Amino acid sequence: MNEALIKQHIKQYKDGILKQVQQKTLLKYTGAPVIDEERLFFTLLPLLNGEEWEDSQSKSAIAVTLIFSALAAHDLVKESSATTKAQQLQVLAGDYYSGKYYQLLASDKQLDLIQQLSEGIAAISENKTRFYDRQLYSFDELIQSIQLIESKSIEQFLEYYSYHDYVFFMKESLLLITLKKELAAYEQGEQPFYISKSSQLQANLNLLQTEIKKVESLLINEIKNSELLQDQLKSIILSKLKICTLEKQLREG
Amino acid sequence: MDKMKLKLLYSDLKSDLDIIEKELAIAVNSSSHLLNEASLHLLLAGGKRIRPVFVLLAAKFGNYSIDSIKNVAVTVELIHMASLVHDDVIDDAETRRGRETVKAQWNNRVAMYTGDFLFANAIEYITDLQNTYAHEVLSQTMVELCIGEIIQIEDKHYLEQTVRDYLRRIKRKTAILISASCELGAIASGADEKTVRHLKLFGYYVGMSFQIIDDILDLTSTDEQLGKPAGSDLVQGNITLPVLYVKNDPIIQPLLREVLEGSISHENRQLLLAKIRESNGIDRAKRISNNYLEKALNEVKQLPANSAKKSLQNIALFMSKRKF
Repeated sequence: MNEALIKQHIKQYKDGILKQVQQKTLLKYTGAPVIDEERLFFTLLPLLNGEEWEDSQSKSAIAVTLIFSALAAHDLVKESSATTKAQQLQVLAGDYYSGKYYQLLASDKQLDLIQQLSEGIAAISENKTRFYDRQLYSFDELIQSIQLIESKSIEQFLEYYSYHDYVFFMKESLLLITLKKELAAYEQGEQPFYISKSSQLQANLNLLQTEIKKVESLLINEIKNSELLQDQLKSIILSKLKICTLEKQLREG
Repeated sequence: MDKMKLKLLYSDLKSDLDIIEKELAIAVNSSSHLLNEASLHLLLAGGKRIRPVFVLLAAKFGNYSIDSIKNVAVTVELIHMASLVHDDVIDDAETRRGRETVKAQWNNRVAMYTGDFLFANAIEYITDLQNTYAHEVLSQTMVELCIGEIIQIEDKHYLEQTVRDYLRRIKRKTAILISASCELGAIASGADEKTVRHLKLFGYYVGMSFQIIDDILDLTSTDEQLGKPAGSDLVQGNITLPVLYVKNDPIIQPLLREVLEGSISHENRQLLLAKIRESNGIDRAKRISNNYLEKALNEVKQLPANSAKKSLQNIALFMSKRKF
């Protein structure tokens, strides 16, 4: 599948998701739901790689994206004094999108998937609170938490539809993208969520850089040698990961 | 509401409610130290557990088995708890039921994650029930609950809203979860379609009557009885049924504008409450609540005879006739 077609798919899904959750008051005060295109791309990875994809998978992919929109809405609630109308509605936007994901899957009779995704959301919430906990977590535990928060629902979706071979690419890519963004933002003096909330991560920025290099090199190797991913898709994933050197190598054959 | 008196009305459910209480403790248990503390904090704050009671009583009209319905009861209570945690963020509430709220003890974000955790657990619990219609009912309920809250925020401080707007709002905000509790209890126990429908409507009418009384009590009770200042709804900009009936009164209207603009003095607030209490707004609202109560009792009458029938009647009467 070429880049233009991939973009078209992503747009179609985005439109489908927005249609599911149209609510005029929320739109007015909180804007459209957060739909992370990179995450959507990795959710749709099997489709974009030419795998069979049925209506049920489409609905489930929309539901998984809605889960992230719901959780992202709550990430936008200020830690203190969320008293403006926009902030109050941000709380409800998250609950509304959450109800919509459940409603969409219930109407499609996907009870097992609902059960698994709910378990995943509970785990995501648990891992998010680790960044507010007074308990000490090791560097590795925090990295595992970040990975779980970023990819758990998509992992459950891919596993549910037996796209097991895509899980690795999705999980490692989302981890890498997140860690790179976090580090870049922190180095520019911003307050990205994970690093700003964890003194452990702040104290171990060198470890974080090593982790990024480790994940990056592992991914490069796996993508390069993958017999599963089509070449065009490999190239697009790499550009998303901004691993320009390998992209160049691949283009050169 | 006098919790002890209410409990007497469903004392035969005590052992099953104990099972649900234990299950709730398991449900809120988390691997996260902080989340565990926050959820336990909520659980210990108690509550009337009226929604689980409705689930159990409704299930008595089918093949009652605590094992097959306990998860439904846990689910509705978890949803109620989760929405309270999120509501406290919306209302910037420092205390609830005399205890610090999650947002006050930790912060808004922790309250968000606690609520998300509870909502997720609620859904996970009910997936044991392999009945897709039940999930359609519950998911629709969750969406409607949110819409009710969204409308409540939209309608805040808006004096031109109508009685119809108010009724539609409280239907979504309160009545629908009580209605779903009754409906889901009946579905989970395999009650017949007609019975499910009567129980669903019963829950809806009781919920409406209950919320109107709640709104009346906010205006007529003392600060001590309420555990918060009387008239808090108005201070927060929520215009309730008794107020809608008297909003055009020449003495009340300017005071109402002051309270809704946030510029009212303590004396004028007391004067406003006194004027509303003296007005016919309270009685008119009570009449509407009674109409809903009558409708609820009429639905119960049409249910098959059993011990739960009497309990439903008594609870409906208690909830709608309570003094605080």
